[in-house]
Amino acid sequence: MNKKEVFKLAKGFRGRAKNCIRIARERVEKALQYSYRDRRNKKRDMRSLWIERINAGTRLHGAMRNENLRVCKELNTEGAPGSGYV
Amino acid sequence: MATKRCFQTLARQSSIFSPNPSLQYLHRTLKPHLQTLTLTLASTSQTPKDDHIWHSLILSPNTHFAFARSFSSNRGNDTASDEDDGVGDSEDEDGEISDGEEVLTANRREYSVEEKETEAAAIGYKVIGQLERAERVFKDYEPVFAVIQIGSHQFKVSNGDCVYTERLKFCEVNDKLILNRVLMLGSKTQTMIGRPILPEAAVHAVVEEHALDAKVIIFKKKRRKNYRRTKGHRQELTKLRITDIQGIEKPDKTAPAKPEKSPPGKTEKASVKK
Repeated sequence: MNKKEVFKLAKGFRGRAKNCIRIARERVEKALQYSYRDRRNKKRDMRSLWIERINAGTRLHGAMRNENLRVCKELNTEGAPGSGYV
Repeated sequence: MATKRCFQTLARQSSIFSPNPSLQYLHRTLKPHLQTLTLTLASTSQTPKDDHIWHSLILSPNTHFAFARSFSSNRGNDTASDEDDGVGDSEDEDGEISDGEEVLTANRREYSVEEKETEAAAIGYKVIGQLERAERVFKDYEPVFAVIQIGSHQFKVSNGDCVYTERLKFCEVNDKLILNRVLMLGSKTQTMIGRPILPEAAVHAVVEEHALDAKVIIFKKKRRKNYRRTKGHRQELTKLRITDIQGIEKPDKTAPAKPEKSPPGKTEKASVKK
């Protein structure tokens, strides 16, 4: 039954959205759309988080992330972009 | 692959032509196929000698299998053999692609050459070791880590870790793997950075299971346009357990903690190798 699946997915929703099928269906559809979009956004967000951290880490040692990446590319280590690492 | 087409054309030609031209054509194909085919031709056309009887008896299931497939739907087999991967072949043979191991056996039937398996394994940056039976491979935790690349994903790994990767072909459960694409090794005293990989570094792993990921619901909707699509997806994964990291000196745990802390501080040299 689709109603059963909808209510299963609507667990934890606020107010009537977890109890009433008309409202729950709308909210669940929106939630599934968001999850589709965010599965792609998650990759972007993670990458920007890694970049923040690498930048912070390299600045502790006096360099900046741009310089670090340039150096890594010259040394042909795994830090060079395009070889799978950020 | 072209080997499948050779099988069928030769099987068809063997009934018509003498075995000599087909034998010459066979020399271009792979050697293990050569033995089976020459012996089948010898058994069918000429009077079987003692050696040929022995070989043909052993290889009879393979030959019957080949003959049966050549006489049945040829067009489907030809189109399937055009593709490089075993995906088309597996669809041809079995309607079910539920088990990863069924697809494995179908692939091995089609390729059936160890060289190809190891090449494909090298692309995924692993080498298949032996199967494990009653060995004790799991050690205690050692404070050494390695950065590994499998396919396009990189992992920081230590002894006893579990890693979920994309489904690795040509692997079965309880297979030992050696992951040879190691990008970095580290311990308390040493760090080795590879450019881009470290030669002579190996990480041993054991395939724990071939599993499916949790189900992900793919839902697409365009509002006010009466368009709504729902689809479920489960990604195929392989769970690896890392057992050993080689290529770096491991700090000895056997050294007792009783002697003063100054001598160990002096003997351990902090060296960074590139």
